[in-house]
Amino acid sequence: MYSFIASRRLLAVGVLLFLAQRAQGQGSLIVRPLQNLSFGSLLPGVPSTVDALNLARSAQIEVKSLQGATFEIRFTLPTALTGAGTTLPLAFSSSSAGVSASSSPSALVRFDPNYAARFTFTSTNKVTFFLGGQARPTGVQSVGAYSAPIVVTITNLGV
Amino acid sequence: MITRHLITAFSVIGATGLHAQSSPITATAEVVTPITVTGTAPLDFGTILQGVNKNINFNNAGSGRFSITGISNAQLALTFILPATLSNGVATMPISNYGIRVNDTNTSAGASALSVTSGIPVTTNLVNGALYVFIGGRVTSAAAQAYGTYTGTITLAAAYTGL
Repeated sequence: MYSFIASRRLLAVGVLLFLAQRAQGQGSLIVRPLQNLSFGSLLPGVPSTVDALNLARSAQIEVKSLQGATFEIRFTLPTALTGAGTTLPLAFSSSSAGVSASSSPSALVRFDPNYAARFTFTSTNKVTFFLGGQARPTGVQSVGAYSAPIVVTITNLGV
Repeated sequence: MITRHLITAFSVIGATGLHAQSSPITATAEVVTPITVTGTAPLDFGTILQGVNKNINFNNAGSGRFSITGISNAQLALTFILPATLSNGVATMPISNYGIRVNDTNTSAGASALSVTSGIPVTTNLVNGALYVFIGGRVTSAAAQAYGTYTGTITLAAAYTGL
């Protein structure tokens, strides 16, 4: 009898956890791109670096989830922009990316965007990722507009 | 037994609950006008007498001139290669006292002095997308200077250093 009651309680707990996991895994992870990475005007032969903390130019992505949730972020980074019938090399350093609980921070927790990184929401349920980089136009870089997609993949690893 | 089943079921659900979202953003840039440098007039000392030095000021008709075009408000590094002598076969004649000025318009009036050392970059701004360079100098003619035409090459290289 005791054993049976205990089993029923466990069943109840199990169902609640299952529902919570479904809600967190499927519905409550919200990824919102806020801003593209913009290098602006470039001069042939003059490299241009956008720091992650350059709020006017860095790419910004907002992620919301449940407090306590762990997730992984992975950037699929282009090696070059394309345009004007040619390419324009890009580089991302080990400190090109950063994350903050604030959307307009004065400091970031830096990480290397070339590798996947894991984070856990501890005292907040919303963070903003910032991505900078360096454009390296050649001395004979053709005049024109250049662009490339950056894919940001967020994987919810659960609570 | 029931407990084990529940734990097993939850673990499996937990694994399949992993959920990835991909979100595209874009990196953009615009490459602007390249810089051009054109020699528009030689530094011409004209006829020189033996033993008589001759100066050409930056605003004389014989001054050397370059024009530079590029994007407005860009900062430039200008590197001048200034010869120390002019040559006429094996004969040489010293050239010195270069006076170099720059202006946003194509006139020597109001041009600003540029402190230049041969081979050392000096920075200036391309205010209106154009810069005009005026070059004067002095040749020192020896008393026994060989007759003939003496030439040398003044080279100006310009590169963007910023916006």
